[in-house]
Amino acid sequence: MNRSMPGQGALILWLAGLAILAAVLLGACSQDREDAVPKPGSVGLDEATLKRRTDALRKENAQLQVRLDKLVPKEPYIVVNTTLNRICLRKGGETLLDAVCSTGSNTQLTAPDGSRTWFFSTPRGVFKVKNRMERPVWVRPDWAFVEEGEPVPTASSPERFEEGVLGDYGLYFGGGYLIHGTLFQRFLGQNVTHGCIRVGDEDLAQIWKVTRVGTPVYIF
Amino acid sequence: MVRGLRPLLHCTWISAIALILVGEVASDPSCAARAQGAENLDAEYVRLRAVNAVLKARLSLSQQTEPYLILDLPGREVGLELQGVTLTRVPVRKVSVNRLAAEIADDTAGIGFCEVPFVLGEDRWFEEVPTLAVKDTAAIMSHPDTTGALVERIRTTPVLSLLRFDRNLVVALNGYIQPTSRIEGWKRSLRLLWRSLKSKTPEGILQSRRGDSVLLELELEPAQVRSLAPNLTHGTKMVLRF
Repeated sequence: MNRSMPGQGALILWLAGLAILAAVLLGACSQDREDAVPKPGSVGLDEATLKRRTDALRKENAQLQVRLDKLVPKEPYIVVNTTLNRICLRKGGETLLDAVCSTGSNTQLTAPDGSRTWFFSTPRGVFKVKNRMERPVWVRPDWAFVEEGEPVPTASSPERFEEGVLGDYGLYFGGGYLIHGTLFQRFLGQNVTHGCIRVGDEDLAQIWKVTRVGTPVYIF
Repeated sequence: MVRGLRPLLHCTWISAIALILVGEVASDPSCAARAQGAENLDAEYVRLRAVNAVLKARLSLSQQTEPYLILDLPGREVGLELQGVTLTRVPVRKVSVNRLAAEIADDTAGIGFCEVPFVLGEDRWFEEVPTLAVKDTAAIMSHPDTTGALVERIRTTPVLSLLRFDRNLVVALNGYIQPTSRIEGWKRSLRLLWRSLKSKTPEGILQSRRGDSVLLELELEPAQVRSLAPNLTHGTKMVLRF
């Protein structure tokens, strides 16, 4: 009797251990089953419905993506970052050129008599190239004379026309603003212009080659 | 000794049978695989719904003339779009959300919260050294050294942009260059902690937002925050994907 006691104790211990092990394993499995049932906050649909809706969503998303992709111009377009002073030439999702440029200084100029004020910033938004010019001539606006402390001449005065300061090419995108070259290459990368976008000679030549009248210009 | 072992031997047989039975139940393919499959389908459906909401919002916003922000938290990216064209895409180094945001991020609730684009109601800008505007073009032309310093400051000076959208959503764009050493990192953390105790500091304001708003804090490069800033004005829309 006494001899059999240790054997019975071991059996009880083994059985208890097995019961715990079985409970843990079954518990884990039942947990898996429980997870398969939608929890509160989950989608709460049966599998067949869920599969049908998932397929429908996949198709709809593909169609929406196609519609979105169509919004990106197929032809090359220009993107200008006025804070970092970068100009990009892109075609679809591909970047053809990423170059340094100079944009508006965000400064203000007031005429000595206080009658007029100019704010020199590059406009943000979507524009289109309206005109392409080789060897553009700068028609000096009134502020150019005010800034230099000179009297403002008449609109047709020869003093207004200055050659060679805008580089080899000019792309006019409205509002008196151009993408053009510069004599001040060392200021590229800085906000120093009166609103125009200045680009280095080689980069400007590359932009000139692939753009046409109507090329979109996105400025941000 | 042999007799003493007998119950144990008997026990081993029982345990072996029990283990086989238990193993059978646990390894039932219709149990684990079905659960896993359903879970995957569930997750895929939720993901597709979130993508669907973002695509629809982007299409609708592409009709307007103002740029809009796309904040993709799973993709860790902030994008600026205009009429369907991506102007810039900025990688986010780190995303932190507060308790309220974490609650909303729960599968379906998050989609509902994000279905309609958010509208920017207030933006606050904090930087120790002002860098966005240049004082005088003529002065810069005559002092080229200062312009180089300015470009450097735009690139590196820490900046915090606090954007308050409708539906009590606050997005903090935290622009700073990551400290190069661990000690520098600790110093910065301590400095921020100290400043957060004062209510009028940017960190103090951010701390107060943590308690009462759905707050998303994004860590970016300072230059990227500055690039986005001029385009984020009152009424700017934002598409958010949790």
